[in-house]
Amino acid sequence: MHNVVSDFNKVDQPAPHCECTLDCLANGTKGEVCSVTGPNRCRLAELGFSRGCEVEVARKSAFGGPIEVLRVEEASGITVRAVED
Amino acid sequence: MTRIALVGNPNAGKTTLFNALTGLRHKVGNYPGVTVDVKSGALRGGDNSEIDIIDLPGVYSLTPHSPDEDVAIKLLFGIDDAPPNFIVNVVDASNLERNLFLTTQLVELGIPMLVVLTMTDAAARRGLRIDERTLSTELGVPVVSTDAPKGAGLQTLVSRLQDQGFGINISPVYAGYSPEITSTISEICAFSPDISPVLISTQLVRETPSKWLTGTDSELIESGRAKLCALDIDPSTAIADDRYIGIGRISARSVIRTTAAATSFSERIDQIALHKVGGYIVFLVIITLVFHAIFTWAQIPAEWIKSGIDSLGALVLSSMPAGELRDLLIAGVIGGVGNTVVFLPQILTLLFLLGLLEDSGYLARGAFLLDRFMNRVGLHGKSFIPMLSSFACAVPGIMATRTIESGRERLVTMFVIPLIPCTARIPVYTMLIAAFIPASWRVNIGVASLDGRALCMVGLFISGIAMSFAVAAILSRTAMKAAPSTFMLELPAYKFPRIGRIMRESIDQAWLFIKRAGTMILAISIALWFLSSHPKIQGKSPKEYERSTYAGRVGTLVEPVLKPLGMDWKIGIGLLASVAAREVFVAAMGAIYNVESSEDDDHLGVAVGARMRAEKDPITGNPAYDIGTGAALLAFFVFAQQCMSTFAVMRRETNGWKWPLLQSVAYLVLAWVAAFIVRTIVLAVNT
Repeated sequence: MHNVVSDFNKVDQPAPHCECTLDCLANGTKGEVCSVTGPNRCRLAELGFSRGCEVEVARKSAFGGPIEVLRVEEASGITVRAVED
Repeated sequence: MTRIALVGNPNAGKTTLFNALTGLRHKVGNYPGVTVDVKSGALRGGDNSEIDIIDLPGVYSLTPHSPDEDVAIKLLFGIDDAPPNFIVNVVDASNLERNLFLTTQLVELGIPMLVVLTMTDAAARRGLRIDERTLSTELGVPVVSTDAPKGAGLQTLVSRLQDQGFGINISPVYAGYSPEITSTISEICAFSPDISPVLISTQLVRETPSKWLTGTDSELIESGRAKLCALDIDPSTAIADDRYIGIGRISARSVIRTTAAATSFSERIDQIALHKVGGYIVFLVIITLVFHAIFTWAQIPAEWIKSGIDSLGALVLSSMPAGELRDLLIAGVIGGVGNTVVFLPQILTLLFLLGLLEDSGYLARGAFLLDRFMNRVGLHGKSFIPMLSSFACAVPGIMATRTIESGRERLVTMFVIPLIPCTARIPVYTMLIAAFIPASWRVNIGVASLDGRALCMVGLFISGIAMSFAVAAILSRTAMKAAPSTFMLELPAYKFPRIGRIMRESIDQAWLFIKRAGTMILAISIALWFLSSHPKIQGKSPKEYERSTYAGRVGTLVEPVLKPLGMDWKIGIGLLASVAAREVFVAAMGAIYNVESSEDDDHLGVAVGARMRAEKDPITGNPAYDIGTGAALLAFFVFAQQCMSTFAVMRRETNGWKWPLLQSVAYLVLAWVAAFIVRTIVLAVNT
């Protein structure tokens, strides 16, 4: 189990208490959200990507496109795009 | 009258339930945000009173992030109108916690409500069974299960609605907020008693409050947000985090766990359909099949219709006395309206296939696959769906952009949509290609010998699509420059498309198209027939007479602009008439030629293209138009924005005249320049 910062801005350093950001997780790995940042954080929080929530990276698209994230135990995935600076 | 609002997450099954309740044949899609307008239908109440059921666009919460969510949320808060009397909250049991986020907010509105659980079978496959009674106790409102497509549980629901079996939760503020958030909310409430706690909590999370709030409320919320931020609390996530703690508790108590199926059906499909390489192959195969079906399979019934119309024309020709009325009937009515009816199989096929893709859940996958490319040209993965439906018609395409959260990306998408080759262009393309491109023309590439006319059609389509991307890329790098917005989209579970319903919907839409085109074509044909034969002036040669008619005078006025494109005043009239809608062009040309050469029976009938080819220059006697004219006309139709409906919908969606006017002028200039360049090249190559 990894700790995940669901920060969809690619950051060099994750927040100190977290292990990594979502885009560094491999396909099919699970993690626990410890903080959500970025311009989409409000919507993501509403969709249940809240602190302590267990998520799974279902797949990453080709060419560095969107990432599909599942809340464990829920049927539909949410896809998010990592924003480049 | 009693008003019941159907509220729920996108894809929770709201519209299916709405259809089952009201019996309305109403569009439902498996793509988040298909319900773009508020639709309503009637249900008989227990005491025989009428109940108005309103189907709202899907929302994930009471905080609006896109224009369609704004519509739904304003209605629930009763901003412009009285709020609904009752709420039916549709909850997708297979995504329970996420759906309960909205439910717990709705409960705080204090409007009597009822929760309807859908997709319980999908939840069961994931090993989740929901105890309705516990859930009802936890939420404080009644809960009913239903499976609307199969009709199970529907009767219970209907009697509940008729007897108004709704409940109100007595604690109107969520109790699980941290002390800082609770005190901020109550402080704002104390200052402005007319603003409800749930409105405060759903607005505090926004970077800036919604525009429809009053100035004072807006300021109060902004200062509340600033205060929380100063305490190192980010309201955008903290408020939702706190609410999810309560939701976790509700779900832990009301969900009974059984054994889950290993991998879901959707997941197995997605392993191929969203594969890094395979996904794009599947996508290309699907898109190729769609276009193949339109241009090959749909041609077979189209040929039957065409021969039917031809024989009808021949029948009128032989049974009516020669004269203006017969000419009007043959060229205007049979030729013009018939020319649109011929495209019915193509339009139907396209609408049906798009319906299949949408209902099955594939379109959202397309958005996922294409986001990267769309992003390059300043568009959004979500732009893919409106753009794809614009191949049928730009009007629903522009309306479908409401699901795009970023205003800038939505505007760019709406701006380029009229360049997408819509079905109204097909009759014009077909007629012009048949008239100007010789059937014997073949293009040899290696061993393959390709049909020049088919190639030409493909080229016209590609030019339109390529230009839409080019314009998007230019706009997003210049006038509408901004950082790329984030992309977020739900990938709903796949489901088997409901063929019968999609068929009915495609027929309804195609019928609407035919009716609109038919009446407009008929009206314009008759008007042109009159305008190009009046005023009756005696003692002039036919050639002088032609130009002195009303139509002739108008045509002569625009002729100088069209001369460089190899077009004369007659084509000018056709182009002016097609400002109403592109497909009018064919009938308009028919009406113009018919009147002034009615003695020449060889070219009567539906072949307007043949008539154009046979047109002689009045002075030299040579053919009036060359292949350069044909090419220029085709190029003009690829780019020009000739559609009143598109103009009207742009005005409505952008709330002003600026964008539709800018769009029309820009594409008119583009079309003229493109036509000029194409004509120059074609003439240079051809001599």
